[in-house]
Amino acid sequence: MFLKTIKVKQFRVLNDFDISFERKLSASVFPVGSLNGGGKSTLLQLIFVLLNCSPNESRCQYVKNLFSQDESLRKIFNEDSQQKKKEIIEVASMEVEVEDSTNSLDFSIVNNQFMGEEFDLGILAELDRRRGELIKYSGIDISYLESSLFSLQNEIDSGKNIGISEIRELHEIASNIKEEETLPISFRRVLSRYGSRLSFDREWIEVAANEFNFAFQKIQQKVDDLSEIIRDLTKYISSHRDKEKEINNKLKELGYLLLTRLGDYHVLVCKTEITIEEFKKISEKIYLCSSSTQAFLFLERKEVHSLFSRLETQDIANYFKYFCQVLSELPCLYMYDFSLVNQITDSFKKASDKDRAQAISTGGTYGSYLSELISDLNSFFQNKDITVSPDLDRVIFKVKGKNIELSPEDLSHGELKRIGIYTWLKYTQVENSVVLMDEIETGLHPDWQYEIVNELQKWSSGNQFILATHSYEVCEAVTPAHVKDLNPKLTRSRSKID
Amino acid sequence: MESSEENSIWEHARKILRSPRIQNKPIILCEGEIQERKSRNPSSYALREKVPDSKFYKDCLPSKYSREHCPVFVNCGGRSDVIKTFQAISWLLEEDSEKYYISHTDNLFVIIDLDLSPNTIEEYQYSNTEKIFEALYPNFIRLTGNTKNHKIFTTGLIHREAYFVLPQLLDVYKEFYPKVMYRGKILELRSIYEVALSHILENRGLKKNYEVIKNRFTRLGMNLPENIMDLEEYCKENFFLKNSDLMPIELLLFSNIKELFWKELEFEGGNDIFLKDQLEMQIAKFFSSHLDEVFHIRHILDRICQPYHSEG
Repeated sequence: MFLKTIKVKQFRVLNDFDISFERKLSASVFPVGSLNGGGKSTLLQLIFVLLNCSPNESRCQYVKNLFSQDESLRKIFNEDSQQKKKEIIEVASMEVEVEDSTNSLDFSIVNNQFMGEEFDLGILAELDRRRGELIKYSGIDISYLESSLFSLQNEIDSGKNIGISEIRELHEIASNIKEEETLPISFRRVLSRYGSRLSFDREWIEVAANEFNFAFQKIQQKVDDLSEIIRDLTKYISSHRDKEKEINNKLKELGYLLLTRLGDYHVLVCKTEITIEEFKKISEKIYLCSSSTQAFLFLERKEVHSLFSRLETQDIANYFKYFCQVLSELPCLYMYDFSLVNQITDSFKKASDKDRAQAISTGGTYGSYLSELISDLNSFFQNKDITVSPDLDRVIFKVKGKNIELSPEDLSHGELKRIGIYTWLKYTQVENSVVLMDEIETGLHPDWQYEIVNELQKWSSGNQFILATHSYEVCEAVTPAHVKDLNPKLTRSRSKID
Repeated sequence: MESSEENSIWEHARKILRSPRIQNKPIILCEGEIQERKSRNPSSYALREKVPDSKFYKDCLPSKYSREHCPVFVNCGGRSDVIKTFQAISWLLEEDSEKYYISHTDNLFVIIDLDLSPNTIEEYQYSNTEKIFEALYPNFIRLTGNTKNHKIFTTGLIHREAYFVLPQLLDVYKEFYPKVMYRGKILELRSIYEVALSHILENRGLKKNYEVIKNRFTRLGMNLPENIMDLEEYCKENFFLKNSDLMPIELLLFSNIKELFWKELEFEGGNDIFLKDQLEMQIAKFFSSHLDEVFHIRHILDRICQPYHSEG
């Protein structure tokens, strides 16, 4: 996989510019430089969102977030259908080489009167909204809840006394639909002692039993309401799916893939000859690496805002909670800081699982994945050994030859960053991919900044690295032709690669 | 050191000493265009015409030295400028070391090309570059001399570009994309030896310094003909026949490989100086990860860096 060119028409500070990454240059590491605010990070995020998120429906929110960060686009999305002026807004064009064939991907935002056709994009927006709603309930098995309530009702009708097990069951149903807070306080009192060695408070069980009937009816009503909502959503989606297909087919005939709905009257489309399935395959080979405190344009604005507001413990906690969810939804996103411990412990878990699997398949002989991993990671440091806690939850470093234990936070920022990137590239098998890295130099000594460029190539195979950087040392590790400058174009005294 | 040209050497020496980058590291002065360091950012690097000459030496470093006590390489101009800069630094430190980031020359080293003509060195244990060469390479192929007290190292072949045609690099050229072309054909390293032979009589520097070269070979137990006109024939008989399968690296003690080979290299489908830089980087990487007795630059770097590494 190789990103050959990117042209951006207009997106935030990126204005009518193009960059070529030359296949001829054998070191596939391309530093991209600009002044602060010159658009390096924006460029990486734009590439990531267009190539990684846009073909995957489950990541559409990130595409919407990104485009809502461009003021002129935001204005256009807010226009109503009568005001619409431009039927096509070109965003970016890219050429991606996959297995020796070059694929063009031209991304545009179009409105409902695109190319002389009338598209009912309102339906798509509505479908989107309802799908989003339905996703919220995706963990709820409504028929299972209904049958649980039915059998609980039968028990009550048959005159059975209300006890701990009935209270527990109703609480479980309520927590399934996130309504446990509506249960009386007596339920919580009883359940908090359940399973503990403390004797049950008989008085509270009696109170809960008296309040059970009312609580039961309340939860039953909630389940009924939810069942109706889900039924309506499913019905709408299935009855309008044909309409969506029709729009999709119409666009396909015009050579476009339908990607993301942006407001009621606009969609992101891509003019290309590849199918959406092929595009999805490309998307799994596009990675973005950065640090968790970067103001990501593709995240919810209010969440990012909380990170840059006056420090309040709860806001920060909420941001990182949100960020964890983002990382689980975007497996190609790697954070130098945030993902580090997980990355290393996951590698240990995977290696240990592989050893166990081998023991099962061979009838008792454990594999050597874990010991190989440990020796590989130990060769990384001159004077430290690395291991994880027995529950595979914590990374531990030990000073070689001494029994001094160190936590990750005792190591230098640079050491942690290097081992993190190495483990991530090697043990999540990032290969033949486009890896977009933002400010890799942060925390690295200038000598290490030079060296990391060589190491990236040594640690993985077939990857193209695009590095947004301010570092001269990072650039010095490759030739001037590798370095792409986003600053206003100067006249060069000589031409570079043809 | 009084001319304006030499004033700039003093100025450069002061700049080196005032750079915080030189602290606690080996400092290696080498040949190459002096970099004006007004600003060090990606844009200024992108506008460079060529990669800095010192990059080759830096990329030859084995990875074990590249993070711990990684040397600072400083371009100082031509061979004699490098030597003069070394001397200027020594004098400046003797005069007043308080002003600078280092107080003595313990960490200061020089790597220069052997070239055809000897370069005189004042106030140094060896009076010229030829004497250094003799001390470092008593048996020609191997750097076997005691280097403990050496600060100035010469290459063991005529210049660094001569290392680019060593037969061990065949795979580097073979794997390089786009294909490397030489005189209209896909490069075959052996052809450069034939070209070098046929150009012996056109090599003015060789004519001028033939006595020096004769001495080089006498020390190796080979008596070059008295008349340079007979040298081509002598080489054919003695170098090629001796080892018909190998390339005669004796030629690399006097042939102008820089002009005959490196400057003439081309690439299939179009030329660009950056492709040559790229190729040079690949060659340096090869030297950084392979050991052979004739990879002198790698051995010099090892000898300079090893003491720092064991300390670390």
